[in-house]
Amino acid sequence: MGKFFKILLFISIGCSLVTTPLYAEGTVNTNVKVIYASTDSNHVDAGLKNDVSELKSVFRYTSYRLINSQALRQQFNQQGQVQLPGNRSLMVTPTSMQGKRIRYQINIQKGSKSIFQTQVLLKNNDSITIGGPQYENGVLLFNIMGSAR
Amino acid sequence: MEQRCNTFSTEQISQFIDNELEQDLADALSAHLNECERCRQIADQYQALSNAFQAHVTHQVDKIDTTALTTALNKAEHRSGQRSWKDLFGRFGQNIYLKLSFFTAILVISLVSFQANWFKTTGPSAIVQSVDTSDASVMIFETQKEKHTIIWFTETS
Repeated sequence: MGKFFKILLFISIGCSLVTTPLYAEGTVNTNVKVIYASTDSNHVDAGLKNDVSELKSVFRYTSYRLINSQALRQQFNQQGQVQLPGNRSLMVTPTSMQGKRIRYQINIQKGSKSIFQTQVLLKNNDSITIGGPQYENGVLLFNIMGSAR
Repeated sequence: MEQRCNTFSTEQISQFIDNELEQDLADALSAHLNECERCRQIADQYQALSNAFQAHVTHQVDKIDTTALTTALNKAEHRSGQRSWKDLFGRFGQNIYLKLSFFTAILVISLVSFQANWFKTTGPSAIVQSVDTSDASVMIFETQKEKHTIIWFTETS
């Protein structure tokens, strides 16, 4: 094998190692968007255009407004809390990695009462939408995106 | 003044020497040369000239060294038989930076493609492992295009 190929092989291995995702010991960036969906108008907030294109394929709502957006930088098993309208709060906790997915414990409370709990395996750099709570003339949607490093 | 023979022309005698004359005519001229002194002299002159020319050509050809040419031809034949990386590099000349750029470009493209395809997780955006609710009904579904997971719950109280 020529010297040139040896150098090339070394560079290839180096680049592969650098670019391979490493999740161990990392932090998780969780982005929570609280969206108010209704049929009041045909308005879609500019920051929601990407998310809404998918939601529109399954929901009949025509208006999507961003009520709150919160970025959480979390360690594993560190709970993050987002205040929701109607005396509700959303607790989101990344607990571990399973393959290329982040395991999240998600809890919605109304006052001090837990009304909804779920455990999901969220694809890294992807999101899940939880919806349903009635709000004003429409409903609330919670878009939770997780990104582990 | 020497008398001239008109039986055969000088051109025909020259063709006879070069074996380019038709057989019946060649036979007739051959018989004529035994009888005609003048024509035989012309034929001898042509023969001498032809011999001298042939000797000169042979000498010149012998002076050509064909070894180098044969070696080059053999090498070319061998190369066409097996195309190697060296041939590919040859297209880039001797510029090492050009070669390095070429390989770096291929490497980057390969890595980007590898990252995009092999590290891409398939399936829905989220797998719901458990749902626990006391006062709500729950529905789980996903969008058709992006397989975006949606959990829908309706509070009953």
